[in-house]
Amino acid sequence: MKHFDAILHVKGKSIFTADMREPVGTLHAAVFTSSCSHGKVLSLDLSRAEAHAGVIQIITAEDIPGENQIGNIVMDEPLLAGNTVHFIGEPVAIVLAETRRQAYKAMNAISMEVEELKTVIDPREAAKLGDLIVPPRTFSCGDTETALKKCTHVIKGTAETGGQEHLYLETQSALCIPLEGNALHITSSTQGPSFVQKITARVLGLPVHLVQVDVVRLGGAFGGKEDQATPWAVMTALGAHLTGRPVKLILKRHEDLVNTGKRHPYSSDFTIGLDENGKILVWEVNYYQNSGAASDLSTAILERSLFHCTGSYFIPNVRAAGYCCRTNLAPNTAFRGFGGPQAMFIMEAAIYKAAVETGIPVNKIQKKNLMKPGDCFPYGMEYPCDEIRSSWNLAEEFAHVAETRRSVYKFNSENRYLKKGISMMPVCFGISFTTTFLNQASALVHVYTDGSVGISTGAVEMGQGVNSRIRQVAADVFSIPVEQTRVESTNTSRTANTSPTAASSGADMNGNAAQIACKEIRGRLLEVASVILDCEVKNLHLMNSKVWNKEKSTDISWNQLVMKAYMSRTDLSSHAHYATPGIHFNKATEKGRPFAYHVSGTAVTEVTVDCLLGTYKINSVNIIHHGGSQLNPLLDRGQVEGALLQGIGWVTMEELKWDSRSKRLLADTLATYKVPDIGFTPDEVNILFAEGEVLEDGVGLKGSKAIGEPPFMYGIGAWFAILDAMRTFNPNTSANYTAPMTPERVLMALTEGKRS
Amino acid sequence: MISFICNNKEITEDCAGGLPVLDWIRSQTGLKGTKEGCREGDCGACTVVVGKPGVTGVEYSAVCSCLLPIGEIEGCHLVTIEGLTTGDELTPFQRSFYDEAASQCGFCTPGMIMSLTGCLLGSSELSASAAMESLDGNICRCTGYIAVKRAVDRVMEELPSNREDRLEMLIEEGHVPAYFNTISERLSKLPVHKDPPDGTVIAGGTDIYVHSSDKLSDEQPGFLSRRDDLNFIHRDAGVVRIGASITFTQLRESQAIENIFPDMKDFLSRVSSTQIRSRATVGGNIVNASPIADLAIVFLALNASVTTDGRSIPLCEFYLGYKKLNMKRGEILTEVSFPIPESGSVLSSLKVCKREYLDIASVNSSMLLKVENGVIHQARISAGGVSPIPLLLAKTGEYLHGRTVSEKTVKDACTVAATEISPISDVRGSKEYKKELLKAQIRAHLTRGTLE
Repeated sequence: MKHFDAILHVKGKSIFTADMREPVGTLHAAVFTSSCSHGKVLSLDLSRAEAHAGVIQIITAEDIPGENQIGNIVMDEPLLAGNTVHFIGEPVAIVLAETRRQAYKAMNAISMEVEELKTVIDPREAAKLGDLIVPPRTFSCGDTETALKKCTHVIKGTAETGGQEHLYLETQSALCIPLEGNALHITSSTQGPSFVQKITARVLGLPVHLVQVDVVRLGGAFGGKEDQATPWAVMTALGAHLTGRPVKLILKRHEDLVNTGKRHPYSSDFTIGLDENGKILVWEVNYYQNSGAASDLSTAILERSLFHCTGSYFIPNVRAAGYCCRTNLAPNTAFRGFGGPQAMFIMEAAIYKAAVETGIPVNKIQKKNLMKPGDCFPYGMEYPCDEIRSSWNLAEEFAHVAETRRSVYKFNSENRYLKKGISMMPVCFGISFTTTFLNQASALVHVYTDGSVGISTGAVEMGQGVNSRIRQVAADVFSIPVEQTRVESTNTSRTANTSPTAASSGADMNGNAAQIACKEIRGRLLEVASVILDCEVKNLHLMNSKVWNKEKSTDISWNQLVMKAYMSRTDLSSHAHYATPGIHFNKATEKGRPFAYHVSGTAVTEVTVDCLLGTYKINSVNIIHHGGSQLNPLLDRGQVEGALLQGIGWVTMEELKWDSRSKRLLADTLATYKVPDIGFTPDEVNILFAEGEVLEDGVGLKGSKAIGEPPFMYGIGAWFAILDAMRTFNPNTSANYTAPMTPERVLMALTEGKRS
Repeated sequence: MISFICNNKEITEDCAGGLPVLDWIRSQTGLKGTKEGCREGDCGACTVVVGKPGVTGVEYSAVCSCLLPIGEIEGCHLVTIEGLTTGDELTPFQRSFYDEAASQCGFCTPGMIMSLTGCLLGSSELSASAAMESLDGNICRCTGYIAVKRAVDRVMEELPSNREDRLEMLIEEGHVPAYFNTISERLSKLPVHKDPPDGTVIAGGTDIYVHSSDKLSDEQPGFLSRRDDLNFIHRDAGVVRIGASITFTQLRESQAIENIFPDMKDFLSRVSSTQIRSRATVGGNIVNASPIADLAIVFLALNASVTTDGRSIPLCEFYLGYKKLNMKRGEILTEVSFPIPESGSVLSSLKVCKREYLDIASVNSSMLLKVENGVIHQARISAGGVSPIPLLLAKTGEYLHGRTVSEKTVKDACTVAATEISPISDVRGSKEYKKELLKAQIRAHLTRGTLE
């Protein structure tokens, strides 16, 4: 099984939004944005820009025919700023011109006068000022206060995790073509076509059915195009609606880096309480989430942090509180893991600190507290299987942990500056949108008279291979070669009211919907066959492109059957809907069963740190991943490998920095924001996929488990392996439990207390 | 007017020579495989292969088309992803990328395939490690490069070992189509225009195109690459002279340089990327005057001099302030020269950044050191990222002269160095970090292999 989409990629024949052939007369948009992080707009001078060659129109908030509002969960984000600007990069005006260069030239001639207001970029400061997006939420179980009194060890601390730029290689892009009667066709690089559709309709004051959104594929997204593809698409629609001409908008990299939100930085306090044997009895944590200037998906992301507040561990007494703090940064947004990585890092930091202070080895505390079957998460859901402990134990064997520890010890005693470190990182990640109603998908399947099959679903292909999985499912139901199937673009007119392709759930939900639709058609086809063959339908099935009667192949081929069915006026199309079964959550009690299932695994990471220069190398990562019964092992492997490196990047070199005075993003080019390159890839990455929990029918996709996000958190292990190595050199350092562990942080931590 | 061959087609285009090749490609129907990812040479999505007529046939290398003025490909063969095949067939790299799912979202893939093909066509050696190295300028955000490595290994294992007739072999193996055989002759028949320059003088253009691409798009730049008199590496009378238009790739592959500095090739692999090194020049690195210019730091330690239109200036007197040069307007830097270090001296160069490859240093430094019987006979040290200019740490060098290598000497040298520098906090690190990092590098220069 392959990643079928890649056959076009390797030849450069895949079409991304920017590659679409533009209709004659297409206008190009450039967006003028705020260069002030918070301020009152005193004046906006468009006159010089309007005089530029090729300029057709400059659109501001006043020109919006509908509502100037692109908020999703909370209505707090204008498409174009009006009287106030809230962050650097906030869109203010859209320049439409005959060519892209003309649009940018004119855009650079716009000037805006702003009276600066107080700027806050620190979440704790925002919390102190009471600037929260929604009231704080608290998840709890047991009684932490009473239990704390019983603890032998009580350790308090703080941990910080930095943000992360998505750096999808394809920047945000959209092309809108006006159709007759106010209707619009938008091609958008979005994970959420229905969201683009809904917001466009709202901003233009049109009914939703006049807006058609189409997505062929994305050049990477990782959550960064779930909500944040929307404004750019809406801007093209607004431009097309106002001018009657097609409008194309492709962000330049620098604009994409500055104007769009990222993974949320978190600042957290914790108290961890343990008994004398290292059993964790109490976990108290406060998350201060840096939400940025508007809510975007922040509240849902914080919710997932709360769901994952105990990581892979069972803790009987928990109190986790989360604050969505409004700051003057671009609204932070979804990014692979969606709040889970932040929560898990903080949990691991607390365990590490507890190990340091109690003298109990960190792995002993980790292992002792792993979830067992029947243990409950703080939100009341029972953990039904034993994959966490089994992955841990398998990983110890797979990575030869005991032996490696000995060789690391030997290496470290023989080298003055080069030190090796090792860590184990267990991951347990809940699958489903935590917003229950989003857990639905639909599919529309057509079988054409030549036997070829076209499938439309709500899933968006962004490199993860969801289209390949869906084709496999359809080919399997019809028992035809996968080449006879095709997944169409994701289109709101074919598949309506779609949930975004996110939360690792795209293949599970859309694949199941496609499967239901295919089975429906298969049923009708077999009815036709039973008439032709004059036999009972229950004896018939499809195999290898033929109709089979019990164990025997008949003469009727797939293609013939389809044609016969058509000639006998049988419906060869089917629409199906899938809703993830068995999930519910009560926000009043913060209890329920929000996830269809969990994905678990364990990573063992070994690193070498040059303790003189503060640089490091990831030597190896060995992973046991419980992925269910794999549908497409090649895709699964790619997802684990890619997510792992993104996770390692997050905790090592990927650093967002803002100028302390202007609050301007400093890492605003690829020369200053670094992501892993081929030279940074660990020398060895070994992944063993292990089956474990058997899912009920209709949960997961044909027994396979979701894979997009969980492996990201294996990367967290790199941070702790580096710290482990550093502590052989400087036993007093903790790197302040702050990620990312840049070479700067390493060197400063290593020389802590030794600097002159 | 500019004439060149794009893939299998002769092109004559009436456009400004400063137009980035990427913009020309993207404006062509049917050539959408070359992607715009960053426009600063940091992602490699726009990588193309350019073949220049050379002594032994067409010489190919992979370059970033976003930083490449179209005037530079006059009389050349421009190869985009569409030019690697003539029908539905796949090249071996395309096949292995597909089989291993080394392409996920696909946006970076054409660039990667072009880098690898550029390596096959142009690299001095054919090996898995050379192929892997050719991807040092290609960013992929999906795969973590692990499947990419598998795909590359698979192809390189199957590739016939170095054959004399490389192009013939690559055609036989399906890496490039047969029309590549005709290119050399067809290039010689192209009309030559060489439009007279009216704009900025450009060496490699790999920095100026990052920030001034739009302005240059309408100009007819003066290309230093057209001046053959600036492209040389000579070693005579104890002095090495390097012409200003020598590229980093040429420098890296120079036998003369390798004979003197065996570690230079490795160090230069950490300067930008394959695509950039085949364009960026020695002269450009020096006149760009970045305070962390990798080569300027090396040359300062080597006591180099630069020549600008006949004037010779010691490099340590060339930098007057941040981006301010001891050079008159209109003057052109023509060469850099340095005395060959006396035998027994060792040049050590260090560079620390967030990412080991294709990154700009937080602090870089070089030390030319001669130690005999534990006594320092010569120490010349330079550092970048710690001052507004590439800095010679003259006092530190002086201090070290005549001392024995010891813990105390290391510490005191660091103390002296601290008085010479004035780092600032920026995106590449806090000033405290840069101070600490320079100390660590001084220690590493002095002790690696001795005290340890």
